[in-house]
Amino acid sequence: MKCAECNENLETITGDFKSRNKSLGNITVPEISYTKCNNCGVILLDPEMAQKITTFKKQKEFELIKRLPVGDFLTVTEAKEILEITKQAFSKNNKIKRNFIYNVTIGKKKLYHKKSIELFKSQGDGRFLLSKQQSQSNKGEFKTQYNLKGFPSLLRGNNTADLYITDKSYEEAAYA
Amino acid sequence: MTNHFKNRLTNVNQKSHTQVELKPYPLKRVKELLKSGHYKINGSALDSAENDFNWGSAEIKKCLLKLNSRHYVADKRKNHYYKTECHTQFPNTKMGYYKAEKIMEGFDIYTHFYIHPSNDILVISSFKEL
Repeated sequence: MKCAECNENLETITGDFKSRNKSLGNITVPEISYTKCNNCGVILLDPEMAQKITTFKKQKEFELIKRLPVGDFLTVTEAKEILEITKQAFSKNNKIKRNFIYNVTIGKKKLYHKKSIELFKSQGDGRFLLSKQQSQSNKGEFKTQYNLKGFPSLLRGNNTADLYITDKSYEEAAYA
Repeated sequence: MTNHFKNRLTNVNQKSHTQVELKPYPLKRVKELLKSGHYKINGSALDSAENDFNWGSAEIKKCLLKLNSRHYVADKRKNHYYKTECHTQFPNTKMGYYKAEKIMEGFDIYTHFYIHPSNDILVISSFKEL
């Protein structure tokens, strides 16, 4: 099969598939078969593999949403008040129905994440990066903003600092 | 003019020197390929479907099966077919472009696809918000 972009041969690869989305940042999905053009980088996925990637991402996203503090979640009534819309408009909104606002179901109650609601109000999309990873600077290191209140020597002013450190060095710093 | 282009122009309605409108895309064949699972999704199309609608491949398929071949410009709310263009890399291969408003879950979509000439597989090149 030839590549549609550059007419070079496509190669079938099975292994880790690197992807990226708003909630998870850079993510690696294991055991995916796909065809890739080594010349222009175009990737083609079978429907089963595409669904596997989607399911994997949704699962990871759900796990990370569950880890958010319960106190950060609001009821539908509170959410609609922030969004300044009626309950009916809230329940009928296509994007809200499609989980553009992070939510969890506790018992029969659906709760919505406050930051996500506010983001949805201002940008029309309440999804934000759920993992600590922000931007990958180089292999094994992530640029991450940590609260450094307990580390005065590292402070830059407002109790935070942008640092290029590995998770290991952060742990070492925390226990030093 | 080569025989290749002569043959092609017999089936087209030439609008100007630069813009050529081909016959509507064979949507029936596209839907058959979708139903039988003979299709592939471009990685970036999958990413944009997820980013714009939070949809996966199942929703993409469901949405494409709802497309109709009536001209979009005639009725933007009900019609979906936008244009057909020749593929830049594969001679004799046409790409179908569709715009569909409120087609599924109230979303407006823009998509284009083609049937790969060598193996008769539908390739969804793009799928994003209109």
